[in-house]
Order: sequence, then structure tokens, then C-alpha cells
Amino acid sequence: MIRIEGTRFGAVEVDEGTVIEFPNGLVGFPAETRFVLLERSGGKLVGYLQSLATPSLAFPVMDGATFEAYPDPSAEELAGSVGLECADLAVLVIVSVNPQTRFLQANLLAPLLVDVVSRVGAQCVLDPRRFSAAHVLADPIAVAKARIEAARARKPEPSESADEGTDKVAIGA
Amino acid sequence: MLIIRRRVGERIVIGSNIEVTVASATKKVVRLAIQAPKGIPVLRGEVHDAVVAANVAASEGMIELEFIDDSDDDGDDTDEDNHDSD
Repeated sequence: MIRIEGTRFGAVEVDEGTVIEFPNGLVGFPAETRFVLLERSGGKLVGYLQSLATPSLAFPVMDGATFEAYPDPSAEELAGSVGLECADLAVLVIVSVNPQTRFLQANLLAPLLVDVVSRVGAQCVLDPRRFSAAHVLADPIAVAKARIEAARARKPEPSESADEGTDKVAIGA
Repeated sequence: MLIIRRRVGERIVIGSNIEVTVASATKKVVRLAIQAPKGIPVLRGEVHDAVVAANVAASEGMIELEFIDDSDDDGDDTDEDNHDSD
């Protein structure tokens, strides 16, 4: 077991076998070659890619499969181009909050490819004319409004506990 | 910093397996042909810098993200109609 004194999430213990190696680091972080994926429950995120070398360094990531026809070229082709094995590839996309707009954004320009079998990964850079490093995912204001509406729609039913799920139909539409 | 004068068609070899050839040149634009092995990414400087900036920003903006993420997890509860009405 490896103990990580992460400054974001406190101490975590992870199995040595769950470590993901990035032999070349991430772009701009060449010395950061070992990470673990700390999964989280709920929310849109897959989890956080936590550095083993630097407790304060973690990247929030989501599943690249969320995006249609992504990545392009395919993960297999990309893996080949960066010299990565491709037994079973996972694509992760780094997410952040835009400091100006406060929107959630995804870095589709530079996905992380991870071969799940060998647990070796690399950050690839795609065509900047086609993919943005700040692809907007969600407008927090719209999300807040939707939540308020959802709360209104969810008026407490007098006492009939039988049909609980039925009054939240109109939320998403 | 090494500065080398090259004519069109001439090459520079970096290490033993990276080759840069001057394909053409005008007053303002130089076209370079680059041969590098798989696994050595070749990027335009500004694209590389943009990815570095995005990585740095993502790693620094985590606390805010935590906040937004937590307030946003009831987006897709559409497939949960198991209520037997009898």
C-alpha cells in the first residue's frame, strides 16, 4: 500500500497496483510520472488524477467516452502515435472551471490516454483547429435555475408515500 | 542556445533520430519538415503552451470545481421507473 498525504482530500491509501505511470509526465509537468485515479461518487467527474510525487497536485478528470466521436483520431491510433500499448484504452479528459465565466470546461485538445492493462498513460495533443482546450460543458447559472425549478416541482406530497417517484417527471424536459 | 544557418533542403539532426529539414523559406515564413520517432510529440510552440496553461489551470482550480461539481449531480435521473403500481 502507498499512503498519499494529498492536500486536497487528506490522506489516502492506495494499492501499488493501481498506480498509473506517465513515462513522459503530463504536458508542462514532465517530472510527474506517477498518478493514481481517485474515483468519486456522484457528480459528473470520474475522479481526480492525484500525483504521487506532489501531494498538492491533482487533476480533475472525466470520461472521454462522454463525448461523441471522441477522440479523433481514435484512441488506438493516438496510442500508436505516442508509442503507447493499446490493449484496453481509457480516455480521460481534464476538466476545470473557467475563471472568467465560471463555466465548467473540458480540455478536449489534450486528452489522457491510459492503457488499462499495463497502466501506462500519455497526454496526447489533438488538432487545435478541431478541439478546444476549454470546451464549455455546463453553465452554472442554468444549472442553478434548473435546480430551483426542480425543487419547486418537487412539492411535498400530503401523505401518499406510494407514488413518490411520479412528481419529478417534468424536470429534465 | 545554438543558432545555425541552413539553406533550403539542408538538415539538422537532433540526437540520433530526429531530423529537421528546411523545406522552404520566404522572408517571413520558414517551412520545416520534421522527422521524429513515435512517442516524441512534435507541437507548434503556441499549442504546447496552451496545453501547459490548461493543465496548470485545471490543477489549481480544484476547490472551485469541487463546489460546482457537488451542486450539480442530479442531471440524469431518467432511467429509474421501477414502481409497480398494483
